[in-house]
Amino acid sequence: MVHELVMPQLGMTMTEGTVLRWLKAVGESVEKGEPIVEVQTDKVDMEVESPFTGYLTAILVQEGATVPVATRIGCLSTTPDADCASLAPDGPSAVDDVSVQQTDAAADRLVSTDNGATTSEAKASDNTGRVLVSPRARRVAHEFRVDLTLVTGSGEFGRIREVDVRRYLEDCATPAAQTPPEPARDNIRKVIADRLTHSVTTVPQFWLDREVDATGLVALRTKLLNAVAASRSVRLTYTDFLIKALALALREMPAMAKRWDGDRLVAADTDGIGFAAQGPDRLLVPVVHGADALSLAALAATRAGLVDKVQSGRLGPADMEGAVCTLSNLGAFGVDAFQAIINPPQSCILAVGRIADRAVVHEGSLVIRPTMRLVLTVDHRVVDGVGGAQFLSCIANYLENPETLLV
Amino acid sequence: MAAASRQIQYVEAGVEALREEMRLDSSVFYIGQGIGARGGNYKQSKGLWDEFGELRVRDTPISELGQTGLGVGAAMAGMRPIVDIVFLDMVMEAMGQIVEQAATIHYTSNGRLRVPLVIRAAMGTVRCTGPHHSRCFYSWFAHIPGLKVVLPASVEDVKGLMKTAIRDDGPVMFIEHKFFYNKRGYCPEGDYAIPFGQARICREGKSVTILAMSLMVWHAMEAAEVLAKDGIDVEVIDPRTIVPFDEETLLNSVKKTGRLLIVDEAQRFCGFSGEAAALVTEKAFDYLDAPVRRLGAIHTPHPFNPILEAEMLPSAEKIVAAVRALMAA
Repeated sequence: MVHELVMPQLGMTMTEGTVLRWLKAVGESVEKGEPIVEVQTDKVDMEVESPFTGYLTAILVQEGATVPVATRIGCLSTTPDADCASLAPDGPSAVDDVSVQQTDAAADRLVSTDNGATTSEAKASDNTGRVLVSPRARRVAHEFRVDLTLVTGSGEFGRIREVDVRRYLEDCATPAAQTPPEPARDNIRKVIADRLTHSVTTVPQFWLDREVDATGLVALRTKLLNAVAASRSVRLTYTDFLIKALALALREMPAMAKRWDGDRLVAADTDGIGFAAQGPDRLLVPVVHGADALSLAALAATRAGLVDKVQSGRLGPADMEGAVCTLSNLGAFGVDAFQAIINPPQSCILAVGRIADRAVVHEGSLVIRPTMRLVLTVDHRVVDGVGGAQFLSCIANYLENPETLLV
Repeated sequence: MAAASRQIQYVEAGVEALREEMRLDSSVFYIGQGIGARGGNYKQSKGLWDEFGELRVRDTPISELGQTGLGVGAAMAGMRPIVDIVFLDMVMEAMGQIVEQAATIHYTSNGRLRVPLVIRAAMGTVRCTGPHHSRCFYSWFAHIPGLKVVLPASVEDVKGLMKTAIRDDGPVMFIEHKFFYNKRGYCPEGDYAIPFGQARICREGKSVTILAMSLMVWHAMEAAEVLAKDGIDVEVIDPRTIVPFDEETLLNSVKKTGRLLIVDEAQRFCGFSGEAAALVTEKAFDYLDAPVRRLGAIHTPHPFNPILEAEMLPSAEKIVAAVRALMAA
């Protein structure tokens, strides 16, 4: 009984995924629910569990390749030797690719020799067809995206050790290699590039700039630090106030929580506020839901939990869904103000700069006050200038009178 | 400078520690068979009876059970006894007192009573000590919660570890190796205590890690010299204490080299080497380039015949062969 393994859809907006690493080799047994392959989608890496108990009998998509969701990437069977031929064709190329790939790999194994022991001899001693690889070698192979079926093992029983993988890499790098290896595709940057290019080229965006007096905000935050720490063991940040202000402003002006759906305005069916957070190697936008009803302490705790997930690489697709607008705060990096790019299909994005003491006019005199510059980017298809200005004004009022956020 | 090159015998370093601690703390006393005026079978208490007298350095009758029980009771009452069993094999008579009493009283008294007792004994073979005077079953004590297990393998270590053992507030199995006693080595002057749970990297290397216990440390170092000539760079680790065990040093080493050989004079089957191998497989799996291998004694009682004894036990030559096999694995 043969089953197919397909590229799963791991998030609502996912259209394609990249095979990162096969966790099982052809011929290995696998249990239902056991992780079988690691895939990357929309900047997140996830383990895919096997839908069946049996044997992985074919790998159709190699590590590093990107395929559309629902593409067949492998075959599972109740016996170790059944091939995919009995499955309905996924497309004429899929089955052909299997046989071609297996023949190529077998040919490579017979051709390459090492230290007098031909690999066909070494492989013969492991009659399940498994490639023996030490854990260390497997790790190095993954790091450098080496196809282990092309590596000759010099260990006992033909085991591939680290030195064998490194020798293979050296051979690839020598001029004798036919083609220089391509730089590894960076799928994360591609997703970002595609999305932002789409935004800038298809969404008519305008910007509204407002300087907010942050005196009250700074004072209230200082005042509440201990209470929040005692209540939730987290540190209250300006981001928490900003998210709350955005959420309340959106509730007051539902016109902002819409999106342009090609030819008409559609109301958003979620209420998430996304906020940009820096992970170990990528920028991610986790989403807080129901922020208008959360207390500042609860909001801070939720935000801290999401940031923790981002920094430890555990943020999943579900954590990034359902945002109506985004907050981006570069204040920590000394930026006074900037214009952010909208994240479609959201209608706006709020860019926030640093709180700094600035010279302002207050009741006719020049005074020094802490201020913060907000720049709101708005999708002109959803909201006009006045609407955008009113929204920004609403946010600014909350921030200049921060006690109103606690009501 | 004389201090930097001060070479004394392993047994003298132990006595030095005992003497210094007994001077510092009057609750420390020493009992065992033949350790009084005679100074001990291996001279392991030489001079102590002369200095401290009958009250604090006392010969016991031939009853390991009695002397250990005495030690447990005295420790519970606030003293710091050292009970010398001399030959580790003879501790069997005292196992009940060690396991059921010394190791357990702190727990069963809900923390109210402590047993700051040192049980000192020598393990291992040295030229045909035979089946009743050669055993190395230190792993049994490691398996009992409440006991610490110390295996000093150098002159410098035996003094520093003995001090820590005496100052420790719980029962400590202080297990030396007979072979070491009359060997010379560098020993610092003055008071220094080596903390438990800190392994010693005797030799740094990149190709393979050897974890060796007690006398096997010396054989491993000898093997490392031979292997170095063939470009095999061996890292040798002496754990010094089995309980507490320094996991971090071992794991960091295996992560660096990818290969581990564990060498123990004790029988390989169900010995401590199995525990170390499981630990590494569990916590450094992705760094292993070859299976973890263990060298230990063949599973038989110790023969009296020297040829059979050599066949039974690990040696520098056997370590060299095992490392070569591991490099090819």
